[in-house]
Amino acid sequence: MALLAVMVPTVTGILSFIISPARLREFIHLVGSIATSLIGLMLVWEVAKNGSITSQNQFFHVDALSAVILMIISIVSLTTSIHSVGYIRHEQQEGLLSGRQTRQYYMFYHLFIATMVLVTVVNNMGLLWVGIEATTVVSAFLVAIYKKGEALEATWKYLMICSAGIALALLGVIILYASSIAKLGASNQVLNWTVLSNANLMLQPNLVALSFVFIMVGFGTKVGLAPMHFWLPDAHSQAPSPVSALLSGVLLNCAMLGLIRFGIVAENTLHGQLIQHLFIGFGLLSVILAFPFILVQRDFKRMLAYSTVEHMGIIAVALGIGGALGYTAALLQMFNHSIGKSMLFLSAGNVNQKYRSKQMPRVLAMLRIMPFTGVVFLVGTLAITGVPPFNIFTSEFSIFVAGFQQGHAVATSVLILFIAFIFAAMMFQVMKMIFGEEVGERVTRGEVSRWSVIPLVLPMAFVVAYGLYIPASFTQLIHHASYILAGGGHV
Amino acid sequence: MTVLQALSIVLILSTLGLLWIKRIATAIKILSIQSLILGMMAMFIARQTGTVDLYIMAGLTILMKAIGIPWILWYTLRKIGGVRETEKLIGRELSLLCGGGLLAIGYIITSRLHISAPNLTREYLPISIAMLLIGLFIMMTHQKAIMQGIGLVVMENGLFLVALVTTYGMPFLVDIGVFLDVFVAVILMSMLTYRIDKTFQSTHTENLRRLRG
Repeated sequence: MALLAVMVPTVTGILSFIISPARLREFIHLVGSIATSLIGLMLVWEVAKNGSITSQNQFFHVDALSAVILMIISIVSLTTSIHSVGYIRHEQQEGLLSGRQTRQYYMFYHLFIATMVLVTVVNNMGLLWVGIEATTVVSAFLVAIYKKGEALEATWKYLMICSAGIALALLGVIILYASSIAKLGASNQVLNWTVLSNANLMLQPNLVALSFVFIMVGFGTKVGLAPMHFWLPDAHSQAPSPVSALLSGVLLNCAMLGLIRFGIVAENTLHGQLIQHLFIGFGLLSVILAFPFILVQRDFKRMLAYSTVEHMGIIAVALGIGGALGYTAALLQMFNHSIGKSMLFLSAGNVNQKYRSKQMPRVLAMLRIMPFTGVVFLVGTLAITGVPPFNIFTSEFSIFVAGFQQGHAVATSVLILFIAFIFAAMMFQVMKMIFGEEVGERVTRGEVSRWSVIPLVLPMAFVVAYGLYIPASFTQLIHHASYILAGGGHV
Repeated sequence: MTVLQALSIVLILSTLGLLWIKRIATAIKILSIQSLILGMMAMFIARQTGTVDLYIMAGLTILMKAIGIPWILWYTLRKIGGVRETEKLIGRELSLLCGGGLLAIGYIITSRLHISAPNLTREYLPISIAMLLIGLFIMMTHQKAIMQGIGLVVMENGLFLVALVTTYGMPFLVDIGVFLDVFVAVILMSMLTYRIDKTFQSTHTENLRRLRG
């Protein structure tokens, strides 16, 4: 099953490259996407019902934590896939992408999803690192797809900063491996999550601490935590919009999953404050740094990217706060942020294609020109800044409560303060875009295409519904995952 | 003086040499030699420990890192033509001095770690840490796209050596995976370098400063 989940997108990607008739390629792409999502959701269902699954001679291990991320991948990738069809067709009509580039786009798009699925289902922590590095390389091809100066620059920074960062994480993995070999003897099983997550495994504390610091910096780079976030706004703003949605909505969570897994292993050995402090410190710094950049931003895709930095910071703080409520809220925040942010990036893509500009001052009267996208963008912005009654309010509020409960009053107060600042800054920016003045006759009214509108209904439903009501089965899955986070080993 | 020690001396000299050279073509040659030495060290350690996996990894290192990657870089360099001198933020002498400093840091760090591992570790871990740091240093100070890529490969070489001397290499599958990732990353960097040259008529990273704030 887990093997299928990796193979289906891989095969779809290869087929998309080989097949030349455009209509048939789009058909294959959609069928492959739907199949990927279905298999992912079936896996999630299995895990929610029967607990974790280990298959293929211990190669794959899917637990509740993986299931949460898999669910994000399934839902978001389905939305972006349908949106992609409209987006890419439009880019081809405009002459921005050639036929060959389109084929490359679809191939790397599916390979990107395959690598992300691999990260969530693989058992061996070394291979988890390999998967995360593979996501960097594959998605770099997608960021570079336009072959313009800025896209090249963004890709170069992305590849260099993330590869160098993640190399440091590999050093951390090697140190951890050395430490566990000393305990268990050399074998290929030693790096497996099923072995490492054992709470009674007494590794050497000083080595584990050293290894985790490297891992925190390395994977933190990939998650986009400040001060290692410089690649993020560039890559996320220069990529095609469906890819931006995947980068912000899914990929960063996969990197976060790596951070969480190693964090649990380190916490089992150290039982100290170190990991808490690291998470809260980096998280708060990200939230604080994102604010001025959001305030002065003129490019709306960059603004959304900085908002992602902020949210990754919030999730990191929540993970640092911990406790049953803190972990649950962190996972819920992950899910909610992914749905909301991917929706925003997709509608930003529509806006970008309509107005032929990413500059906010040039985008006005969105609500009148593109009624549907305008509404989605408005709701998305309200949701992402934590306004009730939308989904992110629920999880952010839980994080605040958990913070005060666990006695992190100062950190939580700073967090609340800056979330409020960012809310104000984003509202200030977005209101002008949505309700702005007359533009003259520069843009015609109407949406870009049906393809780019219809898929937005799915995340919209989640954004509205999860603010009011969360299904019990989903809550149970999140509880299972937060139990693993609290050091419950593999449940 | 064992063979391994001799090889490790050549290794560290080649890494420091990268800080001194003036032409990119020379840097590629040095990188190739460095990877070859690394492969040979892996061979020796494989013979001592009798692990088949390491033989395969050593063979792959020589094949891909000593021949494959340098060839890709050299091909890219030939395709873009133009000025082939390196350009750095700081001078050669200062670079070399920093390299020496990083080597010292490697020794200081590892002397404080108490790793209950084979003797190999105590002898060669400082060198591998220094390689990692110098690779990072090359990435930071060089302003030509290809040289930054070379810095990344040096970092990866350092990591391979860390794994080699602390744990006789990572589990086989992980090693292969890391290898694949590095290889694809180098191919991508070459493509990007070529594109950057076509777009800006130079591979100087000064051109990559438009995205700010």
